[in-house]
Amino acid sequence: MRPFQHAGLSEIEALYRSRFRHFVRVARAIVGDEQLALEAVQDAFAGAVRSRRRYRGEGPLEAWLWRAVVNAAQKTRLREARSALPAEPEGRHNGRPAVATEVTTAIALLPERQRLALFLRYYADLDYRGIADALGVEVGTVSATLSAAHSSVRRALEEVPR
Amino acid sequence: MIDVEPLIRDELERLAPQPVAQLASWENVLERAGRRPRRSAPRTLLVAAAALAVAGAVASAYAVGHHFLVGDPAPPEVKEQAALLNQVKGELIPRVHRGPALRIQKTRLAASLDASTGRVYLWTAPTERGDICLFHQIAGNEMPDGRPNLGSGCGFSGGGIDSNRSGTRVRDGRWLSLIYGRVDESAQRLELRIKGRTLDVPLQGGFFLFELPGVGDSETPALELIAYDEKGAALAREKHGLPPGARSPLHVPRTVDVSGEKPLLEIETRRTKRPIRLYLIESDGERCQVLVSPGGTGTSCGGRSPGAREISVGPNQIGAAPDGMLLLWGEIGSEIETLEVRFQDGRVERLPLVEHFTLYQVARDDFVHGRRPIELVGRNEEGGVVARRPLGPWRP
Repeated sequence: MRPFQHAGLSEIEALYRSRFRHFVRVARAIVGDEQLALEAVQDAFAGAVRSRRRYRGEGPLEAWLWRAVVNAAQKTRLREARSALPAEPEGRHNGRPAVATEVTTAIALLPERQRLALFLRYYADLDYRGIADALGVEVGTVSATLSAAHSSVRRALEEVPR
Repeated sequence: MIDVEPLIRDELERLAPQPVAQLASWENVLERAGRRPRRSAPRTLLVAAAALAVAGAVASAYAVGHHFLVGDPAPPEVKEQAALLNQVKGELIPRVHRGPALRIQKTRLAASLDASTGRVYLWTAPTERGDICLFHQIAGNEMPDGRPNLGSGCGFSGGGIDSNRSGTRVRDGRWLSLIYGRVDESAQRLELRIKGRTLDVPLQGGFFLFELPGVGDSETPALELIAYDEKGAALAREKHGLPPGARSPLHVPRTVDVSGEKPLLEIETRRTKRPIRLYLIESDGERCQVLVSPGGTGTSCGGRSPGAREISVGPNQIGAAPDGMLLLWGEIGSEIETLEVRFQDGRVERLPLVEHFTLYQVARDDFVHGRRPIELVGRNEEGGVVARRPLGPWRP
């Protein structure tokens, strides 16, 4: 039987150093504040360092760390009770929302998982496999989730008179 | 059907642009994890300073100026200049800035150097985020009013090698090329490979400040730094080179003669009715954009053209507030046929376009909150929106 492959401290550190800005960017999208995002990323990695023996090598180490970062950021957001994206348009133009805020609003109204998939896709540059690993779902689910997110945003924009 | 992918990408970019945060300390992570972190660099610095004090500062390289030693606090004039990194002045429309959040009072001397042009100091200040900023100060190159002229780099986090290189024309006309930075505390030796030579770079308490030998102005040779531990094993390497076609960070602005040339675009300054001209000129096999305004001439050569649906136009301030002017100029992609600027109050103005270039001066009245330009929108032949570029974010 193949022994479990635990995460090495140096491997975790290497991913921290090489992907730091991506981790912070996604965390900031979830939390809505760069400083809190930074805290969340550091907390996530501290947790990963402590529990690295629980990593069984069943998937990429990076995906395991992404899950830790996303969880830490979500906890931080709950604690801070603030939303990353404004639920209401920031401003109105000629009596109707500006297009930029139409997109913002459409994204803000997406279900949590769809928003998260968008963040991982656009902020972390993860491919479908990477997003699937990070969210602990199948690749097909990621494809469907992103497709649903795009459809929702498209519908929201098409309904706006131009 | 609207292609929402680029819209979502642009909007997410606008909502959360690339984080300002540089790599935060891994030691902080280990501390949070309850592990004993490696000694932090500032502590190393203090230890180094204390050791030097006991040793009577025998190494002359550690003594700087006539009264500073490595580890000494920075004098007030250096702190004042360093503090400017935390603020930006003179903007016609103040932007939202996230400064490095320097802990100015902790600014210390990290290293010093007797360079070919005179003494150079390297100051270090920690940031609230746990990394550090470094400022190099070239003696004799002070500003006209006597204030120190600091070149800076932030985000040095320790671990491996973090380095910057800089090139400066010193007041007497000589060129000074430097490399400076920080290495992992376990590094015992730092080696520089440049132009076929291998040189030892002295380490000063984990920092280094070194003059690049034989490097002339506008020259940026590839180089490599290698840190070794006490057993001679390579700990870390860092290369400085230029990717093909990239502009050198030390690039000396090029002069392109526009006399006798016909400008691509010409507008008048709103207040004084003087010409602002944009030229597109081939020079040495490169396409150069030359902007000639009452505030001076700016030249940009080479670089890639924007993508078919890309707006490579941004706010460009010439001169400082309150007398400067704010221009929107640049190039747009081939699929964009019209370009408009949208304002906070809902106004939309169409920008002039010639051969996919634009030049526009933002009116002074539109600097005020509530009227500011917020977005550029590009449309295709059918009038459909194919590109957007947010402007700002502006401070309220």
